[in-house]
Amino acid sequence: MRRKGPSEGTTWLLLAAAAVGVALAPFTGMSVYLMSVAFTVMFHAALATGWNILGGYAGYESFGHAAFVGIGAYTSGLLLAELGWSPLFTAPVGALLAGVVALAVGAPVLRLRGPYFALVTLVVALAVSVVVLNLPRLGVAAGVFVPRPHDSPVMARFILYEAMAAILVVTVVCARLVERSRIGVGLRAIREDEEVAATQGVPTTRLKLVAFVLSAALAGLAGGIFSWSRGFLDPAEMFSTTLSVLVVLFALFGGRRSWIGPVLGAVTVTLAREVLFVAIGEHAAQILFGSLLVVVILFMPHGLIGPRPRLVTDGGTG
Amino acid sequence: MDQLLQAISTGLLVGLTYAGLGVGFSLTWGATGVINAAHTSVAVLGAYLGYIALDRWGVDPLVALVGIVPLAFFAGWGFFEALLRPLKRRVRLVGMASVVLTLGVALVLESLTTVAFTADPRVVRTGYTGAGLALGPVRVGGGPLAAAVMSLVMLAAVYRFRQGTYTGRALRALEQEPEGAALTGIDVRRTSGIATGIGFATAAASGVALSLVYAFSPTTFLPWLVLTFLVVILGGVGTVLGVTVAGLITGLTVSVVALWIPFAWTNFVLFVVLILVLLARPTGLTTR
Amino acid sequence: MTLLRARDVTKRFGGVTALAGVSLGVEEGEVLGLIGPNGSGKTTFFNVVSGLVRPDSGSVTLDGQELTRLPPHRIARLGVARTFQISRPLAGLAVSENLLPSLHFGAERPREVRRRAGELLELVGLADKATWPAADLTTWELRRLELARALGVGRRLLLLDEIFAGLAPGDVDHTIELVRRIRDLTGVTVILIEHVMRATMALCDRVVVLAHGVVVTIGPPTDVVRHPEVLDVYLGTREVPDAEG
Repeated sequence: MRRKGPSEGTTWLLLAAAAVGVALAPFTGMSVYLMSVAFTVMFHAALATGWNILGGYAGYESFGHAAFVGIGAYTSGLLLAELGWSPLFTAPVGALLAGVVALAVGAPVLRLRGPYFALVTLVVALAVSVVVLNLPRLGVAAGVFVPRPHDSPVMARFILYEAMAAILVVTVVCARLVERSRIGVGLRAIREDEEVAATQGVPTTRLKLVAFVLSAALAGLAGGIFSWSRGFLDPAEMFSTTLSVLVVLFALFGGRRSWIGPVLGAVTVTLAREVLFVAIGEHAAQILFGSLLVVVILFMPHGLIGPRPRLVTDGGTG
Repeated sequence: MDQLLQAISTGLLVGLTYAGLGVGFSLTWGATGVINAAHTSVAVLGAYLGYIALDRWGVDPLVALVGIVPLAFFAGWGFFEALLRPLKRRVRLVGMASVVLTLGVALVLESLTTVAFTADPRVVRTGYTGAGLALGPVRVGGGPLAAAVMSLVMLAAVYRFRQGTYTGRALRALEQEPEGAALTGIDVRRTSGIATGIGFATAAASGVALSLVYAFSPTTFLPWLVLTFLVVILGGVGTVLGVTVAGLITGLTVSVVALWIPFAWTNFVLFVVLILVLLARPTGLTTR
Repeated sequence: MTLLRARDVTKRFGGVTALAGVSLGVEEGEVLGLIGPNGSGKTTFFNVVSGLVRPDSGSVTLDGQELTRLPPHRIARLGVARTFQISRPLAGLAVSENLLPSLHFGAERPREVRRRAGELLELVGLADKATWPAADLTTWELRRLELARALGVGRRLLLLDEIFAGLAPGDVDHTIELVRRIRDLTGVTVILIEHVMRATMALCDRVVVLAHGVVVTIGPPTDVVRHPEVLDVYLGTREVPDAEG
């Protein structure tokens, strides 16, 4: 359904205003803890929005997104730790490497559909993590120490906050540009009916690959800043399957039609988890969280932003 | 050469247990379209139940299956009625939604088991798990042997069920033609419930089998889940034979490859094999 | 001038031979009917031409350009469009959005896409439903949407697969008119798979009869329906029946 929304120019203006607002928020006197939480929230929002370019627009739900986060994180972290380069440079390098890997892996993997694609991407992510963690020269498995952005914790947190805010803005801008472009039209056609899309002239293979590589690069970018925030790179954290799954959850929960859904989903879910974790402890929080997942999927399968489901009258096919 | 034979025999035995783990998952997927990410959580639960039976009452886990299997079966059927069926009524394509839902369940189960049993890894030690059987140049561990035999029996039982009973054939019809099956008078709801029940039952039994070979803890559900995915994708959905072959291949690959390359890379090799197979046959080894 | 030429096209699916050495030529600007009993290979032929299926042997050329090794989207870019026997709208999108992929990626690529989409919807009579979800359209409306979509893609060749099937007689007449109008406005070449004889007789300049993957005959519609082999293939008789059709 076409909604009568604000004009193109107005939307960009609003986005710019929001970006400025986010960038200035710490000056209202945010504590280190709050900035840290905000950092995680923006990190998740960026990952989800980037994931959605392929997962939501084209309908190819990858369960291996963390692989690209990890590639970006380690590339950036190692360059920073070994060579002392600034993350403002190393994170984009991480993004580049993640994109290259996506290019290599994407061609065969994107031939699969639906659940097969989902499961294979999960497996591929594990394979990538095995490779990175066991490359003999890098000595990554034992853990890598990454220098802090600044000696003062407050300044460090502030720098990280602004860096991740910038990443989020870049990601949202990319997602929105794709969404409104010809590429977005093609991706949506692929999601609806890939074969029909092909007969309409949509270069399906190429578009899927573009979306995959872009979303991987954006994940690598975010990963690069993420590793900067951890003094010590723990392999389990960098390539965490849980993160891959969470990213899918954010988008599913928030809605996949546009960039707003994943951002909203990431914000609500991350905050909910954080609050629960602090309030009732790790295990109780996970129990509650898992139960919430079940409830939400049953009653809002298209997410917060999507259309309300109509009960499918199936005549008893159970 | 002896080493190779040893690796092959271990690989085959372990592969059978992998196949056992995969068959229930494949069954549920084929019959209901649901991808049950909580499948291995049920397996872990089964492993714990078997462990308790041994630890608390001295009952061998394989014997405890007498109680565990029916329990799991009805839990599975109930799970279908309570959660899966409502989900199917609300969503057009149930695949992705079911992954999320069952993941939620898996997370809940993981936390519950951690709270109940702590995160400490458990090892099952019976009279035979430490023992070995010498078959020619090969030494076969008691644990893997028992696990493999149990899994083989289970696989055969499922196969017989699918070929020889009315419900089993109805199940196969449902897998092939989800929409047409209802028109032929098959009670789709009941068949789906039974399929899910069998899924849970085989999962719990496989959990017990795996506990005879490997240590386990609440978080073990994830690596077992990856194994399940591997086996089912490789073998194909809705085929006991395919899953069995895939399980054997997986077990063999891990075992034999470990002879030549560091253990950490064996998983990687497995993944490469999976990718290669899928490139050639996008729906798994057995074409449907 | 021959626009499309198929030479000796053969396609087997497992044990079934869908097309056995099919050769035919389609003249530019003509409406060619493709008729034959069910399972005679008509849709397979369309699948081969549009690139969804690769033939085992033979060639299909559009204006001299070989199509059989091209992916579907490139064939579409050359101006070849098709409809599907069972309508396949992009169900999650609105009616007007259904035209966007073809206009953005097809042979035409107009500068003002939305305006062109509006024109096409106007042409097929769906302009007032432009914002509706495509999933809410009736069968006839879906057919017309497929037609509009095909027009968005193809300037040179339209492959229409049973667009008249199951329509009420009044709708059949309207659709015949629509196809005529399209042909007059754009000069596009059309191949029409049809079982509805009335439409075939009304629209087609020539008719190809296909049976068991083999071309039985080609000729003007009035000749073809009296051809003894055609009668044999359809009715199992070699005599012209008295009643109409």
